[in-house]
Formats: sequence, structure tokens, C-alpha cells
Amino acid sequence: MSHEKKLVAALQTPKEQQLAFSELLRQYKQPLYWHIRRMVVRHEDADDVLQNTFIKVFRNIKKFKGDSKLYTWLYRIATNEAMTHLNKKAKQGQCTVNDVKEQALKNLKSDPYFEGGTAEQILLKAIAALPQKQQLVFTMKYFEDHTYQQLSEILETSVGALKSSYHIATAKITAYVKEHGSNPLTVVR
Amino acid sequence: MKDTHKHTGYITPPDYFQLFETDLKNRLSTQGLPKKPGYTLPPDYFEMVEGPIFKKISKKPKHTAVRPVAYIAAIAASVVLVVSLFVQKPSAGVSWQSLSAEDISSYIISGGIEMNTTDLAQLFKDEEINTLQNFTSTLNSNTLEDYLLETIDEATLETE
Repeated sequence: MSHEKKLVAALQTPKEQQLAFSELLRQYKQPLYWHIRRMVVRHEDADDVLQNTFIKVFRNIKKFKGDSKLYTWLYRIATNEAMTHLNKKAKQGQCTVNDVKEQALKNLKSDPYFEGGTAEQILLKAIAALPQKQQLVFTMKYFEDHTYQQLSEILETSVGALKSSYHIATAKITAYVKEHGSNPLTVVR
Repeated sequence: MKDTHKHTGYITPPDYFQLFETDLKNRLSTQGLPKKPGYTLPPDYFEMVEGPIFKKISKKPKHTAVRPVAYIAAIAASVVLVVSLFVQKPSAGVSWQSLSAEDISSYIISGGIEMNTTDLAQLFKDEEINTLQNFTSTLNSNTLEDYLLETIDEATLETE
């Protein structure tokens, strides 16, 4: 039995559940945090979403049948939770998800949990200007080094479509950086 | 050029050579971009985050029971009441047609009608309540959970 299957079996066994859940947290809290953080921008939001993700995982682990890999399932939950969080904020602010992200990026300069410079800010703004799906594909491929096969399983999209999406996203980002990079003041407000 | 690979038995994934060029261009065009976005986090965050998660999962989910029948019955009864009020006593300048669903909803939410669930239940015939129960029983738990997570804040759950 693979390590993952053993972990899932332990998570689904009441007596072993607590210990197995600690192991799950140990393995996935960091990659999932960074995945979520890149989607929601602010640390406080990422913290909320990460906690909600693990709580959802804990409450639904019995329903996990092993049709997909545990890794894929966890990323799907984290992605959905982050999207739900962004949609909720957009609804509260009566604006779009992109507006929410743009606003968060505008405040990055004063964010105590951001140490990037102008280049990072321009890149993040370029990503935020993409359609939601392209943002996800680019971020997960570029920053998180997922393979196309993994992305295909997580996002339930064909490898061909993902490659095309990543290519389009890259072209848009490089064009954006070329346009704004020479004069950072035009984007770093 | 001769395809020497035919003699070795090696093959490539489908469309490999078509996609190779695109992959290479993507890598080259992103070469000058930062590889990390620059986000940081509070010291010891990953050691601390487990505490609140364990605290939350050890709390047994409160059976707010959410009483969907009661809620739906309340809303439905309120609407029936508003309709009947307007039908029986049409005020000058105000007609049922002139009211939007939003007006009615605001009226109910702002406390325009104060009724408890017993009062509301009395307004319904048994068959109507059964119909509502049948309707709510068709909602699956995920749909209901999503709806509740979207619409009910934690403070409400704590007080329930």
C-alpha cells in the first residue's frame, strides 16, 4: 500500500484520524498556503482560507473515495475555497474578483508581509490582469512548478488546453511587463 | 535528414515537437521575470497555524438544524400575508403590481412582520407543509452547506 493510501486509510479510521491529520497538515500546510496566498494576496486572507481548507478536508475525508490523488483533491479544495473567499469579498464590495485583487495589490507596498520590489509588483499586477483561469494556470506552473499532468488533474482541463492557456498568459505577461517595466511608476501606485 | 530514431525504438509523446517550440519560447520569455512573488509571512506561522485548525475541528459542528422547513415556511407565509394584506385593503397609490420582490423582501427583513414559527405554521394546511418538507428533502447536504456558508455568518451560528 502506498504512503498516500495508508494516510487516507488512517484519516478515515476514527482511532487514527487525529495523528493522520497532523501528518497531513505537516505535509501540505506549506504548499497549500503558498498556493492560496498567490491567489488571495494578503496573508490574513490566506490564513483564513488555509484553515477553512483543512477543516473542509477533515469533515469530508470520509467521502474521499480515492478516484483522484489526495494531492489533487487537496489542491482542488484549496482552489475552490480561495475562489469562494474572493467571490465573497467581491460580493461584499460590490465589485469583481479582479477589482478585489487589484485593490490588494495596490496595498502591497504597505503590507508587512511583502518584501518584493518593483519587478515583483509589476509581475503580480500583470498576472492579476489575466482572466481567472489563466491566472491559475500561470501561477501554478510558473511559481509552483506543477507539471501539466498535475495541473490537468487539479483543474480538470486537458494538457493541450493548459499549454495553450499558459502560452497565452506568458505572452500577455511579457507584453505587460515590457509596457510597464520601463516606468514602474505607471503601475506601482 | 534520415529519421534514425526509427531504428532505436524510442518514441515521443504525441505532438511533442509541435509543443516543444512553444514550451521553449515560454521559458525564454519568462527568464527575466522574478521567480518568487515576494510574499512573506509572520515568524513561526506554520508552527502556529495548526492550533486554530485543531481547535475548530475538535468543536462538534453545532446542530443549528437550520430548520429549513421553518425558514422557508416563514418566508412563504410572510409573502402570503403581504399579498393578502394588499389584496384586502388596497391603499391609494400602492398595488401588488407596483411592488417588487425586493420591496417585499426588504419589508420582511426589516421586521415589518413579526411572527413566530408557530403562528406561521398555523397559516398553512398540512398538505402545504408536507409539500415544503418534500421540497427541502430534495436538497442535498452539499448544496445546503454551500448555501449556508455563503449566507450565514459565524456570529449567527454562534447564537443559534
